[in-house]
Amino acid sequence: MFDNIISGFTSILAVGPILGIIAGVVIGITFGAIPGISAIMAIAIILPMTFYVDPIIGITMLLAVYKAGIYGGSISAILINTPGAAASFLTAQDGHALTKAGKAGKALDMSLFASVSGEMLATLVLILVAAPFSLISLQAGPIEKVFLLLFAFTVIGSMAGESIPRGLLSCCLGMLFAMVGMSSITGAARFTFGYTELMGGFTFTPMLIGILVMPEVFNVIRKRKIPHQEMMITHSPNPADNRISFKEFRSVFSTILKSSGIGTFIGALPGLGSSTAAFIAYGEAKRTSKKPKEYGKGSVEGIAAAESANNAVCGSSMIPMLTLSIPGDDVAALLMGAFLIHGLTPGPMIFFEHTETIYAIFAGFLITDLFLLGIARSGFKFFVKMASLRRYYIFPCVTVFAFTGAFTAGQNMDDILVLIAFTVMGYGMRLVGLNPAVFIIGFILTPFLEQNLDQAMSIVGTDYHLFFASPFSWVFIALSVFFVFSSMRMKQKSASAPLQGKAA
Amino acid sequence: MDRRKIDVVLSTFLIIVSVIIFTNDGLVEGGAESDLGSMFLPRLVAGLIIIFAATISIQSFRKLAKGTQPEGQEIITTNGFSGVFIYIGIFIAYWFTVPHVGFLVATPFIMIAVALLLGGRNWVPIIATSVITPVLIYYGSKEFLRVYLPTWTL
Amino acid sequence: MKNLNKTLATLTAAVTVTFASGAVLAAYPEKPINVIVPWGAGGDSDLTTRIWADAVEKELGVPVVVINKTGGGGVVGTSFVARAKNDGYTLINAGLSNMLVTPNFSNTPYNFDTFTPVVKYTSVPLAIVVAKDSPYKTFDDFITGAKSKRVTQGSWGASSSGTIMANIIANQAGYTTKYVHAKSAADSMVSVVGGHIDSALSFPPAFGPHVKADRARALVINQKMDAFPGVPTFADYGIKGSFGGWSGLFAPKGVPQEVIDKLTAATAKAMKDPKVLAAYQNIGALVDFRHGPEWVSDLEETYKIYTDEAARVSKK
Repeated sequence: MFDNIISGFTSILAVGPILGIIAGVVIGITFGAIPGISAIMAIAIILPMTFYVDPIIGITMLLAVYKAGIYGGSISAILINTPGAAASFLTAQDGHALTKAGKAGKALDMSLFASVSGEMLATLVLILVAAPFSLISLQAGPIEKVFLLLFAFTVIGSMAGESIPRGLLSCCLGMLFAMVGMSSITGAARFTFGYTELMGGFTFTPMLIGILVMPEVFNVIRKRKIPHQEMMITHSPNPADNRISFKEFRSVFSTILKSSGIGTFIGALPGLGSSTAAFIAYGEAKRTSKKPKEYGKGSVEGIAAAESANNAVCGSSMIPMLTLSIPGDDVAALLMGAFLIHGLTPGPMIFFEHTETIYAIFAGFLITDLFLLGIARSGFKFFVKMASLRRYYIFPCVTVFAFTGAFTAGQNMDDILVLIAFTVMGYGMRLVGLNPAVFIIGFILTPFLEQNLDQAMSIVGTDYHLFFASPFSWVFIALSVFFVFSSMRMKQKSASAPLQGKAA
Repeated sequence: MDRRKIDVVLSTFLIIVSVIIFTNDGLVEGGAESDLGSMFLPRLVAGLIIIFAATISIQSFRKLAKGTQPEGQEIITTNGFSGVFIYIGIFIAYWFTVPHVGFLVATPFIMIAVALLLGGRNWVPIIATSVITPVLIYYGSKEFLRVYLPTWTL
Repeated sequence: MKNLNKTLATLTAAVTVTFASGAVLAAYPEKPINVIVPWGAGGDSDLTTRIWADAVEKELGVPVVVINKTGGGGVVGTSFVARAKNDGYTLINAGLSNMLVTPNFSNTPYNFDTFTPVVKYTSVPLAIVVAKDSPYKTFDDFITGAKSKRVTQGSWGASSSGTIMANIIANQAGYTTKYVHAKSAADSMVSVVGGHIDSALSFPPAFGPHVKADRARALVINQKMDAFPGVPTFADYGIKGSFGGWSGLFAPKGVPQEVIDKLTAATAKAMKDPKVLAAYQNIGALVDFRHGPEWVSDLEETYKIYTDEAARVSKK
């Protein structure tokens, strides 16, 4: 196996693949960092271009776009508070708080280091134990997935909201919106009120931009009378505030390890996605943290947890895709298309049939992480400078990017209306204390839950006890109860803490 | 503004909607049979919404009834809302004009309007960015994304 | 003033001439062609269409842009094209599901007659697959088993092409199965290999890797394939009909014949390109280039089978 990896490295360290990786990283960061535009568009467009180049170049380049794109989203989230995905919402909360405190450099560094570490760890799992790891995906049938999803819903709903009922209500609203349109199981039209346009449900991209990105524009507009000097990104004079020291990195390293582990596990189960992983990792980090109160208000640890889990999914979602040929998300589906077209049929045999190519691609993944580190790090000054421009240059551009992003998703003007409607709703949710990112996760996971629940019902038939036949079910029921209990206790603690302060 | 009042109103609205989902069979059309049925999950979610919305509104209602002052996140400030409504207006105008005059014509005006709203008065750079950005986006998405943004159709 | 008038007149004349000559001389295609794929990027239909688009682009000389308009089981994208102008610049990726099955079984704002078929480029045969350690060694075992006890079978939606085809097959062979609806055939395969369901309806791209890795076994398939030589066909068991997915291109009704001819000619050339053929083979699709009246009448016949099936089901 080590021979394979070494020969992989020798074939990747050539002019072609390296240029491909550099181009991919630059494209990915750019697309990821522009609010409203996502890297998946870039991947879909580059895909046909890679048909006729060597698969080592083509696939590593696509993957470089993917990884850099997922990471790039955190840059605009930190600097101008416009998260492009539910996972970046957490980074935006903590990172933007740091930016406002003049510590943008620290937030950017942490998110980059955490992203790269998360990716590296997941990639190592992919390289070393992909085949045994894929057994997780095989063992988790529909019944097990239902329990896993219930666990994800309870953790996310109860950890992320301002209060448990508000968090869970945000999640339920997301679920309700997800059920508009034609059911993929029964073919029935739900809540469409006779409009064909609604048959496909709400288009995801414009909704995402509306709920997560645009409310920040509203915030800026409301503060438009405040002079620029007071809103500007400040630069703390203390150099230690603008970087992550080795000591700081070491202190969050256990958080990164644990979050990457969570991300890798969730990535191996196709369908759950990176946002779910980020929220669960964030919740777990917060639960076990020594400083849980900092979370959401500028916690370096929080950024580390969210970003490493988010990016670990990137690497490990390749595991079910490569070993079982089931893609976990849109991007994995596109990448699988790239593998297929190059004649590398994903499946259990891929490691034996195409050993050299696969290991070269793996080596490319690791090299990509290094390039991402270098290229992104050297771009920080530029990003901060861009984000320090006056508001009336940045936000007209954000408006246009949001419009373009919403339009390009389906090339349909109706989607602009979806964008406007959800912008208003996303802002309203923030006002009344509902969590917009939890709403998005509820929206993403619902079709998956319904599909698995329906399958589980068909499988068990009338033998309902089969629902609880697998130890998996019990483990996740126990975990859900434990998490709800523990977060209730934490909320109680933090509610009574100020009183204690007064008493003392 | 007092968020607790909004809580009560909003929760009542959500509960009414959920009750409609619970009782109305006309919300789903066609489709084949499956074990779960098309309305199982929507109804389950509607039930949960009733529970959570009721919890929130009861909590808020009790505080209101006690007559305590709103504190922390319970106060919603409303300064600067007029700008938000203008912005929404601008965006709706954007949606309305693009199919007719095209992306390249509508966008500069929209960008200038948003810049003005945000208090920009440096005319030359604002107009320059408002013209250059849409051109870059238009050709960028045409060449790289192969997305053809709407053009003049009048 | 007179001069101005004259200038205006000349200008108007010039403009008129340009426009008029434009209308006469403009040969299709003169601007980018949009092909709507009603499914997600990276899926079978998307890949077959992207390969096709990339290949014919060189022949046609204009960009052929693939747009994914997903949702509603393909209905959203397909009805978008049904409403589009029939000038040949908006085309739809047609397949078994969005053209033949869904209009018969769901409430759609279009049907087969709303479109003019242009070409078909690929097809994939349907198969019934079980896990390696399944007690069903042959399709006969499977039929006997399914007649006597509850057998689960992976499909992808209660009114999807998979379930409808499987019903036609099961009806002829006289057995019933309990359908388990996954997101796609590939997802069902994982449930089969993982031992969660007894059998699955599947296509070669989905089951191929698992069969090659000796984790699954195809019991019966719609047509003989070199890659799976020992697998009998439905016809071998006396089951009538053709069961499989296909991918092709339809235009809105009333599209000029010139457009169809141009597209067919470009496709014909593309289908001789070894690179294109290799790309199709890699994704597990059988190249099945068809066009013209004979193909259309075949399609109409198949459409009728599904209309009858829909009537039979609704009578129950």
